[in-house]
Amino acid sequence: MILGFLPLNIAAVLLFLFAVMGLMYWASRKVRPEKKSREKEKIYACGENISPGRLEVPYESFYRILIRMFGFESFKRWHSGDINDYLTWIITGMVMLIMVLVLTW
Amino acid sequence: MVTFPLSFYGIPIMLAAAFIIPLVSLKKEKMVPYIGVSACLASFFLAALTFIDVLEFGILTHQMEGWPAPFGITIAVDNLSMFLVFMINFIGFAALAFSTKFIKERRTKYYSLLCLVLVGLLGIAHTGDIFNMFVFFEIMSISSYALTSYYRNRDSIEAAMKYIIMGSIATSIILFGIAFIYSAAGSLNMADLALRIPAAAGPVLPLGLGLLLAGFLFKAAIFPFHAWKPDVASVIPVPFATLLATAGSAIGIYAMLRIAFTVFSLTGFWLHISLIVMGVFSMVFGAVLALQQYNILRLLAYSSISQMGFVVMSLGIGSVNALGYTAGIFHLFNIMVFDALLFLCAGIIVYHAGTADMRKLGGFGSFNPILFYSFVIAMLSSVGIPLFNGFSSKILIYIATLQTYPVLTVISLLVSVLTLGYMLKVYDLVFLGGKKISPGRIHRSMWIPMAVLAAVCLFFGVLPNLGMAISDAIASNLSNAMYIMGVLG
Repeated sequence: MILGFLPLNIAAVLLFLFAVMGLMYWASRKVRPEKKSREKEKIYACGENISPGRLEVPYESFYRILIRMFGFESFKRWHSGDINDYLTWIITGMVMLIMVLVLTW
Repeated sequence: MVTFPLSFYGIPIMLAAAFIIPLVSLKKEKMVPYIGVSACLASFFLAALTFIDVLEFGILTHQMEGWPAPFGITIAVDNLSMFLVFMINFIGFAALAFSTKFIKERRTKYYSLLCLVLVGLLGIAHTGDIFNMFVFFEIMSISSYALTSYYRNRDSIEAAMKYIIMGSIATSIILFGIAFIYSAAGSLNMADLALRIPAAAGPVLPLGLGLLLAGFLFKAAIFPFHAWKPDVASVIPVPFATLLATAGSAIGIYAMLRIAFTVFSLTGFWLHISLIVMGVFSMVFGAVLALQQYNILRLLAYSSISQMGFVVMSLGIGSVNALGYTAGIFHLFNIMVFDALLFLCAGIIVYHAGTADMRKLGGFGSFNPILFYSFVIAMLSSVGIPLFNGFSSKILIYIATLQTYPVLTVISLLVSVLTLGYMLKVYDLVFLGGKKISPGRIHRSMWIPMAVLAAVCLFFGVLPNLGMAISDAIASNLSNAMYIMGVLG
């Protein structure tokens, strides 16, 4: 049952939802007032006007914080680019795989 | 009734192209790309015809010069190998077509070597014995080493040296594995080995199997054998990186499956645990390291390692839950499509900007709509967003893991979140960014392969049943009974 239908059903439901969303968007464009007020176009928060520049997400800092927060930097140290390190990885992996297979044969 | 696998002619066709290209280039260098592309197109059509036959008949075999197995050289293609042959030709054709505009210098050597890489890849998928598999692996690897140093700069030569050293160790490991297995079982024919191995005893067999699997996992760039891939993929011509990151890795997975399941019929607990562990580490390591990259090609190489991790984990689960095999094979197909598309998008960016450093890029969103939409489709597919092909297979992986080890579902979902993180990084730095790029045209040899791949991503995202049915047929044939009967009669 899962193999035959599930992803297709999900796709069908999503397509239906997208269609409903599109319909709602189209309907909202129909009912909105013709003239926009000036105040509507201003960006504001808590009564303060904010320049568009301040709203931009600092992507560089975002990824740096994400990497540091979860200690992902330590992973990079193991990928030094040094061939000796890479060969150590290969030999360790191979020995472990062989040990598992030989001991459980 | 068809018995001969026509797709096998793809090997001599590509081999002939590899040798005709240098001759033709003496008179007319402009013709070089067209020879490669035409040869691959012919091979692709033969593969498509054979794939249809194999789906109907199960397995097609041929004994070279009439020598019966296990004495002669066996050509054997079943659902699994034909799926790979079809995909190798498909991606190979896209890479060769993309190269016609991308590659401007030393075209003769480039096309000749790329055709040889395809010979190796096709040979591995067609052969019915393990020594020929090794020979074809060597053809692929040696051509790849030479192509790695294509740009002749410091980085590419360093990467080529690393690749040669590590790749030679991996192929030596494979050769040792073959020697151990031959000494214990006395045959090189895979079907014959599958019959002899249950009767053979001693520690030599698991030792040989371990060596073979380690060698094949190196070719597939699965943790902890993965370190070469980002170094190589970031310095080679992008169309070749496309082939290496998709078909090159997939062939390693294929060889692992062929040996572990067809020859050794292994479904034991420890092998599946080993595959799950290696798969999970590949997923996590690949995604975490991709998040830290600023070179778009390196990032995509790590992404490819992470995605292949999903496949290996899923195949590991297959021993406990058969849905794992179907999910793994379907995800392998999807990875090959969306990873190829991601690399080709990166190729256009590198081609027009002259750099792969994302800190120096930006504003590509307004460059060309085909590039933008292709990248968005590939990005959403790799993350596993509904309506894109990555979702169709990832949902099966989530279900398979949930039914067996729910903790793996949580890890898979977290890795998908990390995938979204690094893909958004590319989107932000390359397609948005502060720079303004004026709209530009993309040559048809570049946008047509991208558009086809993007269409495939969408097709299998919206209508995944065909892909799942084929993957299911492949997964149900993984046991060796049919293969042995097909080869030995």
